[in-house]
Amino acid sequence: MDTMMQALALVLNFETIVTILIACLFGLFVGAIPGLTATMATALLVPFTFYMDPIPAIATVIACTAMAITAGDIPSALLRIPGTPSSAAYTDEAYAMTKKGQGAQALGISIVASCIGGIVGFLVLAFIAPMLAKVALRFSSFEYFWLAILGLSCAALISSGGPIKGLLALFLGLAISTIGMDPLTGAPRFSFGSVELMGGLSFVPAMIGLFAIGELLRYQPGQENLVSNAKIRNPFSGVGKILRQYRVNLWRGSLFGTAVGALPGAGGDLGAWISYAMAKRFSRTPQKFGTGHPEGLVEAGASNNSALSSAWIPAMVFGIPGDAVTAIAVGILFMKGLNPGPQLFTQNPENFYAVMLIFLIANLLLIPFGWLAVRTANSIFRVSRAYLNGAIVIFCLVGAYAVNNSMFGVLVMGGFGLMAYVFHRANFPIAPVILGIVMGPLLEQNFLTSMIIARGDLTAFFSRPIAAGLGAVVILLWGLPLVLRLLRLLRPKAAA
Amino acid sequence: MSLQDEDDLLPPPDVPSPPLLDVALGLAYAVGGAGLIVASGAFPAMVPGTIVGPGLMPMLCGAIFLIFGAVLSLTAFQRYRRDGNVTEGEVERGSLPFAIVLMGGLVAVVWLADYLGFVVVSFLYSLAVTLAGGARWIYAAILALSVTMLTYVLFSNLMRVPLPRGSLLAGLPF
Repeated sequence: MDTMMQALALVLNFETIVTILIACLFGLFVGAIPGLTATMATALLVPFTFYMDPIPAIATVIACTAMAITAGDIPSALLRIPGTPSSAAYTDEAYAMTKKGQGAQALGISIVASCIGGIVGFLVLAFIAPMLAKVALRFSSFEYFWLAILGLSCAALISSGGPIKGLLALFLGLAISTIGMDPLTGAPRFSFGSVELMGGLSFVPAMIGLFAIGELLRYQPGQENLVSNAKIRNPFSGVGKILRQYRVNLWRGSLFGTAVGALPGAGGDLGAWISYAMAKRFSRTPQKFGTGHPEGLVEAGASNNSALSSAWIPAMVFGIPGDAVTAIAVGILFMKGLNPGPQLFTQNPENFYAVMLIFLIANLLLIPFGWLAVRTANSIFRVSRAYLNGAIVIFCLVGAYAVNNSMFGVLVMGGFGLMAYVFHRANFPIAPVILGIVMGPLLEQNFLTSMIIARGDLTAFFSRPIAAGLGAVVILLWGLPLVLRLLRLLRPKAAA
Repeated sequence: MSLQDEDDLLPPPDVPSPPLLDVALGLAYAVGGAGLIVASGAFPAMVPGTIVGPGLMPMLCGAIFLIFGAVLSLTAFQRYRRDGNVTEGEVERGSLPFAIVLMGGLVAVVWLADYLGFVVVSFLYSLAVTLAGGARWIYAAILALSVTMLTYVLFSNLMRVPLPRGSLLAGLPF
């Protein structure tokens, strides 16, 4: 109880509340603009967190992401342009509702389902995470090594572009993380005598370059602003009745999204796609899907935000981020000295519960801010990208500079921006790169520690039961696609 | 559930990438990987008689780059021989003039910041990027000036970030 009161005091103060409100507005604005992603919004906010206390700093990320993901549904429903990748799963359905004159209702369903899904994810996080942390306290470097490998493997395998490109992108991030001092011996690596490289490449300029500069490089001047012709009325009118009608979808989406989000590397995008497909598969009226039917929208919308909350389970309990946004958040937690991991629950439990409360507040704020976003949607769409770009480059510049008060960060940001552009053209995923940079030191430290304990004997990685189990899952994860491919090759022959 | 059904649950695959770009990137990875393996061999081992030490992780990365870079190149080259280099879909390619302003401006900012100071270089940079995007110059100038000053006040005065003041304009208050 004492811990909860301390957590309440950390959250319910002027600085944190104002920070949450500003981050919500910012996330809502960026998420609603087609082409600007929730990850980019989070990346641009990081420089502002440098000088904040830890809880307001992490509050900016949580509030901004929750709002941006939900706001991404607005251009998706009104313009048929998904604001965020997770909105893409049900863009056609929502747009079909808009064409039927039910655009506001489609957005209302999405907002309320997101809110409920987010709260389910929050509840699971609040109850499961401390239990998992008790188990994680018994983990040694072997278990942490396999957990890190498991998270990174999921990120590489599920990412767009296929497993080879995912693997190469991930290992590029890991290779970049080896620049600078070795975590165990302090030996400088690949620094070429440069003092700046000796300290390693900071993840902040890298992240801004990958998600903001890379995005700007793909900008095509002269694109017309898009304005929807849909009449926007109260988005919540009639939503209660629809949600009652499709309550099974609502809870199934929330629970499934929570389960998928908790898997390291999976994230909300995949959850939304699978939930929409599941809604169609189990529907009594699958023929109505794609014609402006709210059933899939309820399930996928709930799945979206529940996955967002539960993605924090591996991040908070093990310090292993599941996606790009939680990778950024884990980076911020480390910067602020709030090292994520099981110790967070024993040494600073009030901080964990404060983060939980922020989740709850951010999800509840989806309703009023969502209403505001829908009502002002056409005004947001009218903001020209040309002017936005001018503001974004200044935020990028100052963010990359402020990490070490050096122009070196700006150069690093530019380099990563170019890399993101080339990777996008070649259909390489970007998120594994940032996961690799953030996770690299943790992975290397646990790997080297384990190798020193085992004196180079690799079988020691399977000598403890949990480590062996996790190792088997990793091997299965990489081996299964090969087995499935083999089965596909054999199937026609068997049929013949 | 059949294997085909499982495929239906996943997001649709992205547009195919140009095979020659994959060939080039795969080769770059393979060459970089070979270089990384050679370079990491110079680090001392922590456990005698093994490769456990500061060089192990870079060596592993190098090996992955070398093997999978080569695989990527070879498969992409096969695709190129089969289909030609015409498979790029609706990828947002951006605009070369805009990219030149964006990246050239960034390099200019790094060079000139110590001489002209943060306020001048970021105003000019923001103005150039906004104009390159097709904005009207008067609005672009107002936006660049206001965002620059806002950022300067926020970061320099409130957050105490020592933004470059510029040696050429040392007498000015920013």
